[in-house]
Amino acid sequence: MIDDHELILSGTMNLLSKRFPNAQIHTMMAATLVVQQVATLQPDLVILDLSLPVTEQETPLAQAYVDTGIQLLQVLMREFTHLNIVVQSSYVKALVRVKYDIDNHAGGFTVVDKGLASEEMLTRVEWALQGITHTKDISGVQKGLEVKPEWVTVLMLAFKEGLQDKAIAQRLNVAERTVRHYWTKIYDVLGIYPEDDKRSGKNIRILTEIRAREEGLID
Amino acid sequence: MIGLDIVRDVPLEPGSQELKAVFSSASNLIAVEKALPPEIAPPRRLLPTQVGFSDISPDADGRVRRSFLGVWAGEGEIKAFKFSLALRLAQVYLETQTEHKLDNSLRDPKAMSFSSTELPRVLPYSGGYVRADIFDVQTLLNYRSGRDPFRVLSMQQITEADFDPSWLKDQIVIIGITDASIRRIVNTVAIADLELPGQIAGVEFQAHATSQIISGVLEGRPLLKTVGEGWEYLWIIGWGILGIGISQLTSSSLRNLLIVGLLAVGLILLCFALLWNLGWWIPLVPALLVFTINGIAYTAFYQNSRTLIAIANERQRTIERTFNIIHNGPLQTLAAIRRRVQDQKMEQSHLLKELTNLNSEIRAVGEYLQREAINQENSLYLQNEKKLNLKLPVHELFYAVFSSTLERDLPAFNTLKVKVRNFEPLDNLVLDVDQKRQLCRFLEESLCNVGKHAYGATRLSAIGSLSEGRYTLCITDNGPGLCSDACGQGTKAALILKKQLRGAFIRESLSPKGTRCEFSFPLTQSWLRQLLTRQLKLLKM
Repeated sequence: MIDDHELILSGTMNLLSKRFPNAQIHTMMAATLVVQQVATLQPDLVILDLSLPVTEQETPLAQAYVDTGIQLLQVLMREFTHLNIVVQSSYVKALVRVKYDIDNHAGGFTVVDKGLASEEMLTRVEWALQGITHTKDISGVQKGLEVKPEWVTVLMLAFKEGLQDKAIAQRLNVAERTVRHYWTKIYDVLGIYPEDDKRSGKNIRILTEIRAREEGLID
Repeated sequence: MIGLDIVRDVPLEPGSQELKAVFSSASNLIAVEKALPPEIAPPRRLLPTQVGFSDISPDADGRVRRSFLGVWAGEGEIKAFKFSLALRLAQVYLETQTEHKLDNSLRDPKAMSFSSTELPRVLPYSGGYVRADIFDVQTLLNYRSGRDPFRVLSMQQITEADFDPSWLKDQIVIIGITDASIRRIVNTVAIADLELPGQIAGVEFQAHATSQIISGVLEGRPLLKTVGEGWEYLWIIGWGILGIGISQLTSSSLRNLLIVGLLAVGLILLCFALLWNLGWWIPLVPALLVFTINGIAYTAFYQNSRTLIAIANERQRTIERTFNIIHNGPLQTLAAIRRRVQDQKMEQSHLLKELTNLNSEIRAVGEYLQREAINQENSLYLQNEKKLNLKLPVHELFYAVFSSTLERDLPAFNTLKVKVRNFEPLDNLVLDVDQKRQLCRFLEESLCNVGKHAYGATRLSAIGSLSEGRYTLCITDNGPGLCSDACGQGTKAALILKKQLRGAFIRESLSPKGTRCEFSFPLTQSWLRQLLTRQLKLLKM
């Protein structure tokens, strides 16, 4: 967990250790050395604040920049493509410009506004651990869904031609794993969070088709 | 061969009778006279061919650089052409000992020559001379180097026969006075390491002048010559033009000055080499002056005018940028308000809110311009006071612009259901800040056009893709398509971009419905520019 606010760090730590009693939690307060630490510790999850100082000496807060956090995030996504990440920030909209990297990130990726209730925050952390993507908050209130061209193609192939993942992968000339990665992104866009919906006895793929038709992603 | 370089027309006893006897009998003796006013006559018993004149012609600074070959002497109409002592001695020596005969030169009929060797004349405008008092037949004197180029025997050595007779046999012997108290002094700085710096005796001068002629004829030792006056002018003007040419060579003043400096050194070396090896005396100083002055002055002049042009361009860019901001910001808002007021879909309170927005947008433009004036702005201003750092990779900027533009309250955005967007990364070194700004403005504007015109569109797609060395930015919608081919500012901005990036712009209706707006540009750039940008980047790091 990387955050330069002592208070938030300890508060979040409390919540996390209650929810995940067996978890080992390492904390850092600046951007340097994070990449090395992640490489050595191989954590299940990284919780990252965006506003960060470069080195710990530079605290207090005046020296913390959102850009530093975003750069760190980009490096993490590039170096560890399957790392599960939670971004915790009071200014999640800053993530807009790295949407390209977020779209392509294969691990779990959720965004938590610092104003969010703690229960909600813990849910997002769990989602990230399950490899789910939740990025709704980045774009704010906008009409319509924002998607990548490939995702639309996947939907078309699945629900218009009835293809399975393997066939879709062949058609798109990508790995099957990539198609599964596309699905997690599609779920995010359509507001489907598999663990929750499964629990309530829903068939995820069928739910996806219904939502996609509702939203006009497929005709 | 004996030259007697002592001018005297009054007998001095004792010994004058013996001297007269020698004059009458010796045929190998040449005595001197002074031919130019005030004249001093030669010994009367000698034949005219046994007399040479010993006048010298110093330059304005008192130094002697020329020797006479002949003059027209005498008063009024009765002028006689007389030979100098050096010429006489050389003539007798060369004509008796070798086949070389004195004649007029074929090339320059007024100059003298022995066989094919011309003794070059020096004229009032030759070489470095300007309006010099040079008349009749004179030649530039190339002094022999070294402290003692000639064997010198003192009077005492002669009377005591303290010498080897072979020293004198078949040689030219010049008798003169070297005693420092009564000798004639000739000033020169051409010989280093003299006993009295800058001075030699008259007799030594005659030896130098005679030796120059004989060595020139027999050994081909270079005689100092000058090119014609016309050629000299051409030479100087040529260097002047070269100076102007160099000032325009590169846009870097420092590099131009370096080239001027190098060529100036080259010019000096060239003139020196020509003089040293071939005896050509070519005007160095005027050529050097006109070359360096032109090189430096015109470099400064062009630098100045380049700066002025750059300032004018910058101003033009700022104006364009400002209009761009106004066009993409307040004018869009205003257009939306106008349309809705016309459609009478707008409530009073909503209208007031929109007008307040418009007000703050216009103020933001003003603030932006002020900030821009203070420092070179590397930011892109979007709606809602949002500011983007243009140093970021361009695809990240595209995502931000896309997101921010779609937040705007434009009528056609309300019906959108699907927004397909993907902007592939682009090497950050390919584009400069200004080009990125223009590309972002283009994206913003194309999206605004969708928002304003694509009524009923449900699908919007904005794709930035990289293939085959081109980056393509394509914005399509499934709205009603282009209703008019109005060429607004939108296309104008694209045209500027087109010129800047050598790109191609397409805007067309799609079938069955929709509009496509596409801009693509090549990524290839000269390797030099890439290298330079990379170096700069490294330096900045």
